[in-house]
Amino acid sequence: MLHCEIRLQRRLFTIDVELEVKPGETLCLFGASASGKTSILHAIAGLEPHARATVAWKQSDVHVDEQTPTWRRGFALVAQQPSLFPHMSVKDNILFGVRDSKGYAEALDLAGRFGLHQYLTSRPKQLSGGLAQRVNLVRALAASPRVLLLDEPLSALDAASRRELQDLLRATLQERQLTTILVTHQLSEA
Amino acid sequence: MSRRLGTSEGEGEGEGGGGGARVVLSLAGLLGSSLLLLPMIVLVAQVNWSTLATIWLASGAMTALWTSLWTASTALVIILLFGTPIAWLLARRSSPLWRTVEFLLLIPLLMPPLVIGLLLVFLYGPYGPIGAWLAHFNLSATNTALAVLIAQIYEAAPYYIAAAQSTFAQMDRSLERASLTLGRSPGYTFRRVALPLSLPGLIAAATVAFARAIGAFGAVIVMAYYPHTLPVSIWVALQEEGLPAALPLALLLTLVSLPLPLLAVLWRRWRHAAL
Repeated sequence: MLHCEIRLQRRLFTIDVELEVKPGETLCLFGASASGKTSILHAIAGLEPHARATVAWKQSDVHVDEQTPTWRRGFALVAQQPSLFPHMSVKDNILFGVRDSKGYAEALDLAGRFGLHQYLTSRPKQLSGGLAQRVNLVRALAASPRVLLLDEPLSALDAASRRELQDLLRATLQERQLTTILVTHQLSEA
Repeated sequence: MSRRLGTSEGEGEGEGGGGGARVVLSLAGLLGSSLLLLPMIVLVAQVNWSTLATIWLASGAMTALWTSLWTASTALVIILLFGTPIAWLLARRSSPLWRTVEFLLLIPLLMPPLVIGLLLVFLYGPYGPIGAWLAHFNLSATNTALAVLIAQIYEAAPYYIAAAQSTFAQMDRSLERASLTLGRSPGYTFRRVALPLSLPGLIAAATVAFARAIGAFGAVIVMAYYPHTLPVSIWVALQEEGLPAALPLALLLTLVSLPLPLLAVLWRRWRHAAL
């Protein structure tokens, strides 16, 4: 069981949140825009400077607190807008967080499954918004994170692309039994 | 209704006025640019091209050029080594300490070079604290290549740091965050993400710093009349033989100091279009 305790300090108020996610399951944080959902994800990822977040796995010695730097947490974050490295090819983007040859093969397999094989040598600026978000998702999955943090990853896509990517993502998450926290303000995405 | 009509008329007037303002602005811009380029045209027009090679070879210009080139290159390497981390910290840290450092760094940037030279003599001269310490190693920072080097660093470093800081600050922070959440360390993120993306800006900053270092005069002449650098040679030629003798040396200094920054600007434009 993944247990997160987050305290977000704001000038006028404080938000205290406690989350529990079973391994391999997806927890959805659903709420209106500007209600602090993204800040909660950022706090878990260690990107929120004025937040105190502790994340622990029950029955495990893995423990993350505000002292743990982002890069040691193993929480890959996929934001609403793809933040692909513009100076790298799609392939280099996907392999960015991969550390071994097994991960390399898996990453390329994922790229194929998400329909990215023909774009591997392309640059991010040559991709449409939908394709760029696919690369963004594959890059995060390929890094083999402990937890996947999804911040409205499909909201900027058109309806057809969203449905297709949603199905692909759901199947991949189930297959990999990857613990995921999804933030959205759209019931359909939840 | 009347409000909409009023807005529309107002916009129409604004557009007409805007068009006129644009023409005036363009003319002012062209005039200003021409005035800035005029000295270059004068330099090319006034130099006696037939005696150029003779003056360059006979007046010790080559020795001065060599001194300027190697000291400015060394100064640039030193500036890059310590200036890049400072610029990075200034762009990324928002603590009161770093904001104060950022503010204080404006002082050497704005200080007249001659004044910098005078202050450096107090620090690095034979009776200064650092100068006395250097003497223990049989080093002198007065009238030596080391003195030239120090003066060039002090004159050029603030330009590099300010430009590099601006380059780092303009970088999309979400890319660095993406790298960190993919499990890559800050060092790896800097090498693979921040540095390649900032490289055009850093190279432009470095070439400007090089141009400042090789053209440094105020601080250099106070710290080191000898060995002559090219700017000091120009001044000596001007004092002893007048403008005709100084102009060929000025052209030589321009030829060695300008191509690098201009090429960097062109490369930056090309790369910006490519990404």
